[in-house]
Amino acid sequence: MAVDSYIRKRFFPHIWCPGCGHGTVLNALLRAIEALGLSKNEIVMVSGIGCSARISGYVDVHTLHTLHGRALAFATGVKLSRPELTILVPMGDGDALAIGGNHFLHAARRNIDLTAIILNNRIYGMTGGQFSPLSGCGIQATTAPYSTIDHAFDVVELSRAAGASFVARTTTFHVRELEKMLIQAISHRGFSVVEVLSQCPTHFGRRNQEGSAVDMLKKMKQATVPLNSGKLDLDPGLIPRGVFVDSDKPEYCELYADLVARKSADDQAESVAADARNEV
Amino acid sequence: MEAATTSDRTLFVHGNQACVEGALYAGVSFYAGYPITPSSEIAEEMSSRLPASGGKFIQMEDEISSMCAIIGASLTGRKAMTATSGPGFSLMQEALGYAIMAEIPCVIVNVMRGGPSTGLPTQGSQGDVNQARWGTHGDHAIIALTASSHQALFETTVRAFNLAETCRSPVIVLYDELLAHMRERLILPEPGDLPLVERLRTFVPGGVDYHPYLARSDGRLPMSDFGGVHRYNVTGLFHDMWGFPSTDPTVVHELMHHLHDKIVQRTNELASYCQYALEDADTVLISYGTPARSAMQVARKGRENGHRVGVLELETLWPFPAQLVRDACANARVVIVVEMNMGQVRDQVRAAVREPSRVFLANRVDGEFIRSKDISTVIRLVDGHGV
Amino acid sequence: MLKIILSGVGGQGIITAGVIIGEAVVIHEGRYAVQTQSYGAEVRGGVARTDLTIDHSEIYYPRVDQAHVLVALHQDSYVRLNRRIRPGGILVVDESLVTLDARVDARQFSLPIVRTAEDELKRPQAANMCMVGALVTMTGVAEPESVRSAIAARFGPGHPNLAAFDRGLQLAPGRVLHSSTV
Repeated sequence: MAVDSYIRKRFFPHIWCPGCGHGTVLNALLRAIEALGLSKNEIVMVSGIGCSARISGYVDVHTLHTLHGRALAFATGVKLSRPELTILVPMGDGDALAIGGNHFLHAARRNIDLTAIILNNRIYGMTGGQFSPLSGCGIQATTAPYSTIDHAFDVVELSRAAGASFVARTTTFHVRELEKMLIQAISHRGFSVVEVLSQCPTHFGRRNQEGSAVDMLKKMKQATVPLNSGKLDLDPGLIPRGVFVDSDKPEYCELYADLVARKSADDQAESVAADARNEV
Repeated sequence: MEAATTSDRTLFVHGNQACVEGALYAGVSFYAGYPITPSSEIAEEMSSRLPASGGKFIQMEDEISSMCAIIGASLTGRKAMTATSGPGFSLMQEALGYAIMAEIPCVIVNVMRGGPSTGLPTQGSQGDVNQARWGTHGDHAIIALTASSHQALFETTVRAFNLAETCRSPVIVLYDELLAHMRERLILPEPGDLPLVERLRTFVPGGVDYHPYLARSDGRLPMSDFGGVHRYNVTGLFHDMWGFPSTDPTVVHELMHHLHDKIVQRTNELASYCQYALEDADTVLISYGTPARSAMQVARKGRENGHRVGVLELETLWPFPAQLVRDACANARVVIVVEMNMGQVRDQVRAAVREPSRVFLANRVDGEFIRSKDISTVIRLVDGHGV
Repeated sequence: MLKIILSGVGGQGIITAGVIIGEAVVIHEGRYAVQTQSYGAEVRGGVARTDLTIDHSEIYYPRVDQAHVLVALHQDSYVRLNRRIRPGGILVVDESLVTLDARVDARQFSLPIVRTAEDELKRPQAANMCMVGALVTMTGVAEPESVRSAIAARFGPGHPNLAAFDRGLQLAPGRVLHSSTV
């Protein structure tokens, strides 16, 4: 199927600002879906609130545009109900890790088969440029006129500690790598996290003197290296990219199915035993 | 005395189990919840029963996610519910509003304990009547049902699932801790004894334009399960008939009226109630939940002593059955609302009747069950007899 | 109508005893019973209390304010609840755990419930079933056979609680409450 057959063309042009990285993520995601040969009817996309959440409106699959921070909670209900469906959950940094932080931790802990895509532009774009839990210290934002004093989460470490069985990070500059990681993440059985460093020239770039979208993309290229690169030892300020976790850990819906099978076997054994007792 | 029964359909159970039995009878197949006294027995029983009957049970990280999860499950075609108590119900309000806006059938049970805040976790109250009505933000209509006995709670729970499907709306079941934890007889109806409303699914075939938010002439909106042949959008934003966001004033106006009217215009039809000796009553006791049991006791005793006391027991709290209340109180000299709060239904009754000054409150807010004497004392005071 | 309060300390199986009596009455005899319980925040320990109302017709008010029969298997619950008994009502206590107060206006019976369960049945946790047995003999609250059915349904056929109940039947002095209340 052609890539553009996965989109709802009538809603274009999209709402994102010129230079925004979110369209790049949408593009890579559509290519990943196409490469996997998934049928549109077997995909459910669940999103929360924010710029990133608007991705769901543009994709011609079953789309559930929910509440700020709650996408993974809704997605958990869909997935447990219909484990055969492929569930994609694009989220912003504030959406996933501030208001939605607890749902994120617990979805990872359960290792439920959802693909969480965190579009990390380190800012609340839709509400006008307030800092997020991924902004980090020393950032200018509309709620940090004297610069931020809040430390940032490390999404990779957080996801690993919470129990996610697939964790990867890349940027909107590395589009081929992004597509490849999304293919791996969607194919993975278990909770997968793909953190995509994305640019918000309108709110983050402008306030933090990072220049145009192109300048921001170049910066992401320079600030990141593959996770096995020797440069990481020389410059601890570099951000590693790559697949950090890819483990084979029992998935929640499969464990639930096992539990049901166990219970049904016990019931059967019990009923056989009861019949035997009655015959005696 | 009734004939002795040893049928295995006769149970001696607590109210929370009566609620679970009703939900299972109605066909619930998805439960998400978070433990909270005094509702936890519902989750415990569901965790035991659902896996054995092809259903799904999940204990979520909080009540916010529980409410979200049942909405997700309902969209895939399952009858879904959660249960909680006041503090958890507060956390559910955000997603409850979503279910109202996106018209998702689901059932929320709130076993009421004393509040505000942590309040009286192990004791009864009816303090959440208004939270059920106005807990979530924005103009909206809601259905909230209640019951005063286990048999009635079973039937109310079944009805809640039926109305959720008929109205494509969340339905709230409210009852107090006393009913939740006391045990009494429950006779399980045979399959088929109570009517069940199943999910109305669209007949529109795949490939043909399906409108998830276009009501039929009877007001019902046929659904299509997520994962099925129709791909559409569900959102908490105001939306058009395809489910896509819209700020068009006409679309917004129409949707707001649809959400309101589909429930409010059916107020009389939705009104469920019991009555006792109302025909010639000059003293009308209006009550609901366990306080209605004491009201009944007072009325029966009053009648034995020649007093014209009657009872109107409400089983539908929202939409408030104002017409029913107005008619029941038309010839009353005195109306006494019996409830375990500071007068939440009393206020509704005052707004409904022709002479609000005749409406009084007999209440308790100390976690204790309302005794007959609490009511008869108010009757005596109102009648000018002193205590 | 018969109103009973069973009390003791958390962990003694007081609530289970109330439920067994309720099940016997409702499921096996087709009469009406309502059982309530008071909860504290403690999971174990603290006063445990369950109220039972039994009648031939529908019961509205579920709590017991004035009991025909009060059982106290612990001194604390005896002291705290003895004012809940009707004047001249029946008060049953455990001989080893409760010291009777002669000022209480009730017919008080002190029975070796806990000692029988511990020393004779070697099953201290079955004291509650001995108590149910004694109560059945003294009050006729339910038929012994329907209580046995309720115990068997809850714990399984041949469960030691059945023997404890049967032993309890023998512990009591005989019928002390007459049928007008039931």
